Amino acid sequence: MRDQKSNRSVLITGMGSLNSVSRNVEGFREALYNGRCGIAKSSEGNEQISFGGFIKDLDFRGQTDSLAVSDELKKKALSLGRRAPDGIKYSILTSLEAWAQAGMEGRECDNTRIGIVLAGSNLSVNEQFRVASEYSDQPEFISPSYAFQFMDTYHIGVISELLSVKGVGFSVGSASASGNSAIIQGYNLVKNGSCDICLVVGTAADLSYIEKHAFANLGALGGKDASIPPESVYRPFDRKHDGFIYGQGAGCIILESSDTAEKTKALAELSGGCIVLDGNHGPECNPDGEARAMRAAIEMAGIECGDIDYINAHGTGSPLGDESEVRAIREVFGSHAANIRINSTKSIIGHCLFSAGVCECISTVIQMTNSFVHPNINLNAPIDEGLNLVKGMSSEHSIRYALSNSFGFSGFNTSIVLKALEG
Amino acid sequence: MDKDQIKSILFSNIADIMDMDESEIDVQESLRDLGANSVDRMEIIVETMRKIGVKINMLEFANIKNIQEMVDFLYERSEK
Repeated sequence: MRDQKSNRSVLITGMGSLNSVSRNVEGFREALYNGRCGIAKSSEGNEQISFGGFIKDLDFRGQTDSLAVSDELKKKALSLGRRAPDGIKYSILTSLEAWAQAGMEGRECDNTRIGIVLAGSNLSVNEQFRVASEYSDQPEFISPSYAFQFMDTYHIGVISELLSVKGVGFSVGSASASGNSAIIQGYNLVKNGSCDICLVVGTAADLSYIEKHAFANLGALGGKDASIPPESVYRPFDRKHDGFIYGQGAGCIILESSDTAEKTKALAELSGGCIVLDGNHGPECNPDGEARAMRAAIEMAGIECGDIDYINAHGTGSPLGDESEVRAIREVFGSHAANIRINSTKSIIGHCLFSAGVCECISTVIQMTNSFVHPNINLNAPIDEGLNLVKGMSSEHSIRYALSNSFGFSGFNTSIVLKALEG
Repeated sequence: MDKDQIKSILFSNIADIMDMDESEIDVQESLRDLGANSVDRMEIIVETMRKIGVKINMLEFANIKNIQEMVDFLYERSEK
């Protein structure tokens, strides 16, 4: 067991992104800045479950080719992803993009000191549903590979083989807070010296129509008014908010210890993060738990509430959820709350469920390094006029410290703190 | 299904799973010779059985020496 290396800080050195509005981080920056919404309608029957932020028409081969990595790595990526489900293709593409940005290829690295943390659980439910539907009366013909591919951990296996990563690896489940939880576990691993570099990967949730209908039956889905066009349907923090809209989003963040990283090339510092349970089995949100998570993350980062310039909210568009988060923010920040810019990236890319925290961390770093905050799409009448919920268009904003929240069914509350780097 | 059709299905599956051209397949070679590991071999066999519509215990493939023998065996066990 390594000694505590608690003096090292944790830096973000690379990012990869794929979602309904963009194929890479630069594309994501452009979409965030221009407030371009990715919500559309698919052809699925029921009105509500047909809305989503979909990754469409992805050319896996072409996208792999466009990455700034060697031909050898591209060939490996194509070989591993060729016959794999879409989720694996997304993990491969985003990991490679982050790997390239972090300058990992060609670096002399001890690959036993590199780890992988995968965000989420139940990542392949749609694939499971498809196989069960197709083979229930002919189970002898189920693909043998399915035996290990149905598990979430297959993502870790693929990425570790692709990038020759041989340190620690595991998946982290916290429902819709999985992204942040994975980031927090990655932070812990680097901070305590279990690894020097950690990839945190989130892939697009692949739900079958069964899960989508269950969300609809719970009343959790937005788009209840069939007359509203897709681009106007998703309205986090607006008085007409009526639930969440599902989004497909994948992302990879590379965390590295300040001991080994090239600080001048790092994007931001991950200063802390906390996971806090409500002691509740159901989907209800709890402003007290949310406030506790935010306070704990701020304290862990060694800063004051007044240092936070920007919050990337959980902001799902659920009426109770939005109200709860706004209350929690007011409780934590008091009079400073009005100074903080707040937005929900979900309004642009949809609620990416298990990978939301990873996608939104990337959104936060993009805004931080480009000094702007993106608008909350469809925010016309904010539920709280006293808070600085970004409306209309992007605005210039210098972010020194950011908070990113993610909350999940069954009482999960998580919050992470990001710090801008000098220069 | 005749033997040629079975051979065609097997070749197509080998080409797909091994990411190779059908012209590279030599029937005197075994799947192992082509570089297929144990998972690849099982994939190829199960997928071929599915397309042919025949269910054979995997253990019965243990003594098959090469691709030609596999074609012969599958044909022998298939519906004619």
